Amino acid sequence: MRPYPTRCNPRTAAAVLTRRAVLRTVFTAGVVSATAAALAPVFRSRRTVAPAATPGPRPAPLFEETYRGRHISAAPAADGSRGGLDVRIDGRPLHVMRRADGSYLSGVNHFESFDSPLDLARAAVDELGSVRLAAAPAHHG
Amino acid sequence: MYTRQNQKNLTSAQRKRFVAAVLELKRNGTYDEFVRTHDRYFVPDDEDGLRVGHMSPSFFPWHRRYLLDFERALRDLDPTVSVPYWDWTTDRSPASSLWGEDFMGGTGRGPDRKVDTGPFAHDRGNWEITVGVTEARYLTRNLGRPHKPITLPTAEELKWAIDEPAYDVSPWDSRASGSFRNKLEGWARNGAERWSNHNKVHQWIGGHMTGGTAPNDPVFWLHHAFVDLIWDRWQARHPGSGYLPAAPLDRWDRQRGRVLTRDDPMPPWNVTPAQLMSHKGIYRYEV
Repeated sequence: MRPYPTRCNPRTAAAVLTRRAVLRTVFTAGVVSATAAALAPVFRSRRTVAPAATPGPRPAPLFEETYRGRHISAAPAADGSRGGLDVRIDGRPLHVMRRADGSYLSGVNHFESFDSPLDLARAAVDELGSVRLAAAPAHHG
Repeated sequence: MYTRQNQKNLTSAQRKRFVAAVLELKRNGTYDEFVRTHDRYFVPDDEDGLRVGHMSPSFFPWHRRYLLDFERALRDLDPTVSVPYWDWTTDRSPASSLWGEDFMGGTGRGPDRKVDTGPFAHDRGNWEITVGVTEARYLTRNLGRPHKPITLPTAEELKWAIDEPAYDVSPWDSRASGSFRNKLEGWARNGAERWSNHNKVHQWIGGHMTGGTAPNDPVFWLHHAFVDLIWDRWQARHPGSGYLPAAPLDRWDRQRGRVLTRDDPMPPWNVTPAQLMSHKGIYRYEV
């Protein structure tokens, strides 16, 4: 899973961007593949590190609104799961995943992805109609 | 050797026998195990784990084997039954006999998306949803997605995928371009359309079919039988092409260990993609 979406934590965002920029430079410089092999684990490890729990109050929501009569919200996930996001519809968690291109998939929409968590949540409401999410959704094993 | 028929050619008796076998698998608990398996093996390509069923080259062999298991379970109950295929380039309407009262039943009409016609209507008492991400204990559909209308893939769109000579290509995920697999699975953009073919069919049906527990909707099997047939058509069109990646990926390749090459064992069955290239001697497709 990814860490938080970069926009919700400027410090992490800056670090990730810097490292990306460095790696891009290294790769475009055409450095021998041995170096690439050495860097690959570094590059991939970023994807698996869970963000440290943030002490203090809950992080501010990325968005919160009423859409077609349903309350939708997103905030950084406290445990780094669900694609780094805690998206809720009427208070119930929507399973969030990411694609390699950075777009978002949900437990409701597995066969299309969305550019932002807001688009993701709205699309889930569109698809659900009046159906409520389960209180404890099925998990991928 | 048995035949998978185009669903539109099934006789009334054949429709009835297929439905009866599916209902029996549901009753004895086997069906919901299949639903769980599909959900369990959906791994998106941002994750580091092995992807077998989606966003990866083994999309075709994984679903071929998955359907074979399902079909074996059906045929253990009734050896005259096989999984029919739905050619969504020709049967394109919610009014098609596919969605008839004696077969799949129709769309979910109300805001609750509840399917209330056909053998899988909850009120008939035979189709309780037990594996899902919503509270709905009934099957849901939303044919044609009226809130944001889409149409089923056309023959031209299918041809766009089948004409692609490369089975798959790096980065072997949902970003791959110039890949038959990705054009058919449907993450590849087709002109102005962001989604295509297989993915678009899931979206067009809506309800349970848009999620990881898509096999809750029995039309899942008919859709994927056609996907399986399309793999045959692609092989016939490109006899010189084969499954890729054929050889182990380089040590530095970020997809190494995340996708299956031709001779890697594929979970949960430990058969290789190479072993599933052909279904000769098992079943054939009615043309």
